[in-house]
Amino acid sequence: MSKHDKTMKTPEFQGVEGAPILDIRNLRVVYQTDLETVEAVNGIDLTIERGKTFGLVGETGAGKTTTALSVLRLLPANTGRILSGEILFNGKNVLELDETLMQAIRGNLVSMVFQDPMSALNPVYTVGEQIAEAIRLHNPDLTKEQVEDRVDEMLKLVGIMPSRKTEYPHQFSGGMKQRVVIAMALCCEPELLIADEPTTALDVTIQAQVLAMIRELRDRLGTSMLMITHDLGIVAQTCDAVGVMYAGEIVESGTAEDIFLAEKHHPYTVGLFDSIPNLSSRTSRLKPIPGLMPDPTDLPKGCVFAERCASCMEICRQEHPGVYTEGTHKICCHLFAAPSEKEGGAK
Amino acid sequence: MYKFVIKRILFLIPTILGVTLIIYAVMNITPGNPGQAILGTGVSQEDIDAYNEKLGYNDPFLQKYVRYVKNMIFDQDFGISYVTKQDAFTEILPRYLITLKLAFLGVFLSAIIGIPLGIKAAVEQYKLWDTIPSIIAFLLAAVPAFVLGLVMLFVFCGWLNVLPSYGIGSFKHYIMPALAIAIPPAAQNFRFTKSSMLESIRQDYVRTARAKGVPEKQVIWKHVLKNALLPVITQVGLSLGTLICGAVVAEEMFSIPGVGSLIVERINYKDEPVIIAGTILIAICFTLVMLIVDVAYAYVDPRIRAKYTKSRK
Amino acid sequence: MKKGISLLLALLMMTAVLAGCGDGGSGGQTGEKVLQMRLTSALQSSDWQATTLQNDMRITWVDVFEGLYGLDEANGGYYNLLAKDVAVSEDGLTYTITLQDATFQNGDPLTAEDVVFSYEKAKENSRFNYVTSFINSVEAQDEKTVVMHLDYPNSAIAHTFWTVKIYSKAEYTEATAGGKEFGIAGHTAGTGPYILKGFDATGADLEAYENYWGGAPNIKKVRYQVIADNNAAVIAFKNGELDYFPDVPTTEWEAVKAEAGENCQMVKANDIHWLAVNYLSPTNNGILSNPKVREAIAWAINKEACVMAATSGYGTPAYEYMPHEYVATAPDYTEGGFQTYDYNIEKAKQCMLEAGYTEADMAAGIPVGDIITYGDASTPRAKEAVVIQSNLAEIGLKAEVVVQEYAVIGPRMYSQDYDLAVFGDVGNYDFNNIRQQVHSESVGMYLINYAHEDSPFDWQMMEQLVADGIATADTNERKEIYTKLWAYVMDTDTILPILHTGNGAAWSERINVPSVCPTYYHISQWSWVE
Repeated sequence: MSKHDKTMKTPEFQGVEGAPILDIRNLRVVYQTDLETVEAVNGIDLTIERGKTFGLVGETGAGKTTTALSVLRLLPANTGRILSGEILFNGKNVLELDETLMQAIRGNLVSMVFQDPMSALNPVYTVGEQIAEAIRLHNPDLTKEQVEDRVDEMLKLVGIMPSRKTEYPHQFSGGMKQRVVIAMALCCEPELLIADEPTTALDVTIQAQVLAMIRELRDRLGTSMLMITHDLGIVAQTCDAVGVMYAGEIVESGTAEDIFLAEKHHPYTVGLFDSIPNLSSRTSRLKPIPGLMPDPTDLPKGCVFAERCASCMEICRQEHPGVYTEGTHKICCHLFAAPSEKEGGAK
Repeated sequence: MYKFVIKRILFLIPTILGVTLIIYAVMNITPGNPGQAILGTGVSQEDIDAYNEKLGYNDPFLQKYVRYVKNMIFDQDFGISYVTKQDAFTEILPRYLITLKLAFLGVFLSAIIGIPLGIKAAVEQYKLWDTIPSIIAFLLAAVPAFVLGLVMLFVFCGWLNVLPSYGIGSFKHYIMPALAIAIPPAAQNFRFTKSSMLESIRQDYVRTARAKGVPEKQVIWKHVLKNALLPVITQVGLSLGTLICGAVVAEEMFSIPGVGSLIVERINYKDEPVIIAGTILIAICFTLVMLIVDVAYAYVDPRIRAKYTKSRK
Repeated sequence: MKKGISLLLALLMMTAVLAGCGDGGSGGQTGEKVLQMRLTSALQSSDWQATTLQNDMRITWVDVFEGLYGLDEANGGYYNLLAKDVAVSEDGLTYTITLQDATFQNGDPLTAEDVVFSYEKAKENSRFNYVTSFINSVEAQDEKTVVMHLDYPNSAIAHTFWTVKIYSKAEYTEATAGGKEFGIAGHTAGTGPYILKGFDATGADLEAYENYWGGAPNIKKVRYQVIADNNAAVIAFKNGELDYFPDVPTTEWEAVKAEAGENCQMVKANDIHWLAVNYLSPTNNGILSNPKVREAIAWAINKEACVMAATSGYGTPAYEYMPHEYVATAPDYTEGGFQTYDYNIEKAKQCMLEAGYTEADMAAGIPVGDIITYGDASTPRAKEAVVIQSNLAEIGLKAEVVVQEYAVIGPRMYSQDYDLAVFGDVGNYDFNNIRQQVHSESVGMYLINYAHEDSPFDWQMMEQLVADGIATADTNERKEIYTKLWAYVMDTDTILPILHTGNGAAWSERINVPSVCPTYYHISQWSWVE
């Protein structure tokens, strides 16, 4: 199949020409139970240009997975609620589409790879069947042989022998399973691939292999990617643009150069870099960021990082900081935003 | 796979021998004897002893056991009933088939009522399709079969007069007894299926399926169901055992000439041949059903199948 | 979603449709009317010797087979049936019986050979030792005459004549050729008014024997259906699926009576529930060996209360071992002649004092052992035991009630391993049956061992009276002798009658039932209502 602009081809989905592949604006997502409300994502803006890879970095619980699930509208039905904001895929607001259209998009235009490969595959169906299912779903007019050929092709692509397609998931190792998942995600050549910590559950050597494979496929197919990770090393190797997420907000964003090489940084970003152990120098102790992320059911007024920030000021506890912009580099911190340059309001 | 099946069938032999031994031992220990039960009061002790002697009842129980087993294996002779003097096997067989009919009908009903409702309740969790059946199941799981039977008897038979109160003439006759014994297991199946479904729905692979764009209905039917129903199959198979026992109660209440009521009746007479033959038949049936369940399980779940076949490509 | 609802609806619809179709079970086909009767369990056998349950005997002993005598419960005696005439020799040792002109259901005429054969068969069966042991020989004098020689005179042979039924020798011999068992299928080997066509686990079918020597019965077809559960039987009766309902459970009597209107009757049953007091019991230093204590117990029993508790008021207090209404030679309490007891606490207490116990002892409670009976807590005897327990408490006697199954209690009773026992006896038609309880040869049948080495009783005298009772055939003489015997027994205060239960029967408006007997009904005497 040749690569062409899929969005235009899919009749039901008419995207806007020239728009960035993904544009999230002021997204707010909560998990609502009878007892409490968890404020998971609190007004984030995120843009991914076509063909580029965006890395979303942050600790566990920052709201990265929630953001990813919101794009595909796969939040748990009982509790997840998207309160406000827009998610524009090719310029079209995904939050306004009906479920049938969403199903046409999922796996087809936007695919997702999850964190834990061990349980991501259905144990009672062969891997071939599971990949074929995705293919058949979005290409109903293909013949059986054509579908099978495609399955073989995808397996070869991820480095698995096609003859293994009649085997069951439990017969594969963790790394192999993740490759299968990736094959499943890419088999319909999606425009956008969301990878939620795809290698976190694998050991380091396999990690390198799988990452290399992802990069290669991305280059070959020209897929845009949202790479969610807590590992700055992966970000350095893979991403074009980066967003640093903390307690449901993007506290710093920019190009990879901005994040890694610029002088000014959000104190949280500084803490992240500082906490990476250095291979060359000897250190007796690691340098973590003191404290814990705030309770998402009870977020503080003002800056969310204030509690743990070394450079915390009085105003940080009172007012939510505005965004300081320097070209592509954006930092949300009172240190940099002068009162007159304030954008975005207090909470 | 075949080896596994053959092995299980061969296990039947020690099962049968064991069952026979246990029954003879128990009959030996418990008080009473056929002579007394059959001849009743007004007959002298000598006469009772003579009667028992003639039946061969007074022999030491190991001797009886060995004799019985020998007859069973070599002559396919299950003995003569102490009470009716008929061949035990001939007496039991038609009644056994009736009980099986009733029990299987019960299993079928309990599955067909419990499982779909359980699936529905899991899919529509917290809504009406969940709360109402759950409450009903909660109550019914505790109600014993004979109470249900009695209620049905009075409602459908005494009051409405639409169903017969005894016998096995037509399909109508089986409805009430089958329902009476099927409803408590149906309630169990409902709750078990629902929880199994809920557990499966939470699994990661369901999320993967949705992320692939699989429509919700297909997610349930194709991805969740197959996984959720595996333990349910075992549960239903096991419930056959309960149902065969429950069938006894239904047999008594609805005058169904089944093997359960026959065995219970003959226990009072210490009619060993009939009791043993009947119990053996039930044991065989139960063992075969469990075997089928295990095979079905292996057939459906490839992880279990691998354990049995141990074939590498 | 929709699938669930539609599945459920489909199921309900299917049930309703299947339930709706069908004729509602009254068996009303065009053509012959079939009498609908009830069995509580599958017929044991079609051989009269092998049936021991009362419901089965009602079929095999009355409809299918006949003996030399028939049983007339309503008038307490026997009447000639297959025996046209019976002549007794002077010494009472020889009986000459002239047979009826009857035919078997297979067409063969009744001959003396058949009678000889049948009695041989009965003698082989230890169950009937009791009625055949004194018969020395049975011979066929000619085609229609049978001669029996007895070892000693026994007027109770009437009961034997009733008990032993006559087989067709030819058919019986043929059926048992090759070691087969007789009685496992329908047959035509009896002389009775109904032929047993067949039976299985669901019931039995009878057909009228058109050439019955006593005249073809009115009701031609009878279907016995097994209805194990009493509730189901009541419902069947209400729905018109049961024409005759014998032994109506007392708890349902009112409901059934309402349904049947005039077509029902409650009669005194031919049974007896009595309290056995084991004078040999070692409990509490042999307290029961004290005759005054036993007498106290006799006065303490509240028979009315027992009747209420055990039979819901449908029974009657008992003073006799066998109801004199049903047994011609039985002592009649209305004529006096023996001690009778009714609830009298003062007299009971008086006896206790005379026995050597003080008011204080009685207030503290004097253990007297267990009251045992068989069955379960719901049987009438168990309820009587509970009432008696509280009666005894009124006079300071402490007793525990033990109810267990017959297999456990039976052996205890027959080996005198008990203190007090509530026993039920049934099916006695000749007072000679008292022999089972008072004669030393009835080992394994009696509850009180009168002939024990420590016995203070004149058991030899009792046994002599038993022997005298059968030595004469005169009913009045026999009754006198038995009255003397029973008077002695009552004086020992070891056998204390409690009550006779009530037996209710109801029938549908399809049939005429001229009279109701407690045990055996005669379908051949009924007729369809035209």
